[in-house]
Amino acid sequence: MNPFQQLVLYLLAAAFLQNMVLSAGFGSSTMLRIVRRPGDIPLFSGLLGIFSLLTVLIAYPIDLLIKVDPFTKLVRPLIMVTIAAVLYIAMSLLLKKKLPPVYRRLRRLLPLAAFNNVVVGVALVVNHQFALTLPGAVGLSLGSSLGFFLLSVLTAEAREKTDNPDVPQAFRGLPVTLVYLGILALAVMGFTSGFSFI
Amino acid sequence: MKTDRHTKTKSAKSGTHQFWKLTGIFMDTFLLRNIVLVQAIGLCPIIAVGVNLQYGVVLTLCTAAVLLPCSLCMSFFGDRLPDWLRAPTYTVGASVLLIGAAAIVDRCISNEVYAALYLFLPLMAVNTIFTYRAGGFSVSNRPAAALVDALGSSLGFGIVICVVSALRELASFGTLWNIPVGLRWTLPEAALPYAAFIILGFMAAFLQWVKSVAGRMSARRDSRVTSHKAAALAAEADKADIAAESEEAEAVGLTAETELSTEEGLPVENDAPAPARVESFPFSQLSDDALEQKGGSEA
Repeated sequence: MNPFQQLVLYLLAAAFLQNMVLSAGFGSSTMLRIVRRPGDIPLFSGLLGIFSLLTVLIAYPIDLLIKVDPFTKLVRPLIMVTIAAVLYIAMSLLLKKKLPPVYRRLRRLLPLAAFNNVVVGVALVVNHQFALTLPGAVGLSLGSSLGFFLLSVLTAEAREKTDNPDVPQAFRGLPVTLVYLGILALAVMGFTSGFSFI
Repeated sequence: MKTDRHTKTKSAKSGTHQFWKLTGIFMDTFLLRNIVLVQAIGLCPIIAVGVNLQYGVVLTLCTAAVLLPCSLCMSFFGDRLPDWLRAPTYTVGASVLLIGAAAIVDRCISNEVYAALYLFLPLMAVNTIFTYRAGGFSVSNRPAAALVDALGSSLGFGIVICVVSALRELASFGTLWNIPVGLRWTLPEAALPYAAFIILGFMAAFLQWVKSVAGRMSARRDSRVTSHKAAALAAEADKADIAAESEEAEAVGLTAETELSTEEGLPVENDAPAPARVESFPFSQLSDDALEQKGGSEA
C-alpha cells in the first residue's frame, strides 16, 4: 500500500468508521458546546484539523527518538501537551501581530481547539497501540477533525429537531442530545465489528 | 461600646453572607448546575473508561488532586498573565501534576488500573473541566471561591463517573469493584461508549425533572405566602377603614365596636412585620455568562 493510499484509508476510517467522539468520547464536551453556535462549527473544525495535524507532524519523529522506558512512558503525554502549547502560543502571537481582526474572531475558539482531547489524544494514540506510519498518522489526525465536523453538523441539526413539544420536558436540551449521540454511536459501532484505534 | 457591637454584628453578618455565597457556589457546580449533567463538561473519561468503579474513583481523586491546586494558582496569578499565556499555563501545569498522579497510581494503587487509564489519565489535563473551571471561573474569582468551585466540580464529576461506572460494571461484567455480585445475566455491550451516552442522557433528564418538581413546589409555596401577605394588607386596610368610621362615629357621638379580624390565624397589627419571603433555593444561580470568562476560554 503506497503512502497516499494509507493516508486516505486512515482518513476515511477515522472520519466515518471510528469517529473519535462516538468511539472514545474525544472532544465530546467541546462538541456539545460548539453546536450551540452552528456558525462556529466549520471554523472550529478547521482549527482542530490544523492543530491536530501540526501536533502529529511534530510529535511523530520525537516519539520515534524517545527510548521506551517507564520514565518516558510517564513523560510522553507532557511532551504532547507542551507541543500543543507551543503551537497555540505561536499561532496566537502570529495572528495577534499580523491579523488582529482574525485573532479577535478566533480568540475564544483557539484554546478550545489547541487543548483538546482530539489533538492530544490522537498524538498519543498514534504510537500507543498501533505503530502507524507517518501517512497513516496524518490521515488519522485529518480524519478525526473531519469526523468531528460531520458529527457536529448532525448534532446541531438534531438539536433543532428535538426542540419541540413532543419531547418530554425532562428530556429537552442536553438529555435528548446525549441519548441521540448514544443511538448514533450504536449505529456506527455496527460498521466496525469491534475494531478500535484506542 | 455601641460602635464595637455594631462592628461585630456587621462582620458576623458579612461572614455569614460569605459562607452562604460559597455554599451556593459549591451546590451550583456539584448539583444544581452539575458539571457533567447540566454543563456537559468532562464527558470524555466517563464515556471512554467509566466501565469500572475503581477507575471512576481513581479518576475522581486524580481530578480533585490536580484541579484544586490549578484553580488556586489561576485565582492568584491568572489575572496577571496575558491572554495567550493563560491556557498553556494551566494545561501544562495540570499535565505536570498528572505525571505525579500517574506515578502514584502505578506504584501505590495498581498496575492494572494504571494500564487501563494510561491514555486517559494524562488527557485530563486537556479536559474541559480545566478549561472552564481553572481557566475560566478561577481567573476572575477570589481564591476561596475558586477552591470551593474546584471542590464542587471534582465532586460533581466524581459522583457522575462513579454512578455510570458502577452501572456499566454491573451490567457488563456482573461485578462491583471487581467483586462478583451474582447477577444471573450480563450485557457485555454496556462497556461500549454508546451505553455511557444513554445512561448520561437519562441521568441528566432525571436531574432536570427533580429540579422542575422542586421549582413547582417552591412556586406553590411562594404563591401561598403572597396570598397571606395580600390578605394581611387587605385586613389592615379594613382596619384603617373601620378606624376612620369609628372616628367619624365618635365625632357624631356614636360608638362602634371594632374587632380586628384575623385572616387564617394571622394577627393583624399596625406594626406587624410582613411575613418573611421563603427562599427555596438560597444558593446563588450562576448564569451562562458567568461561565464565559476573560482569558480566551469562552464558548
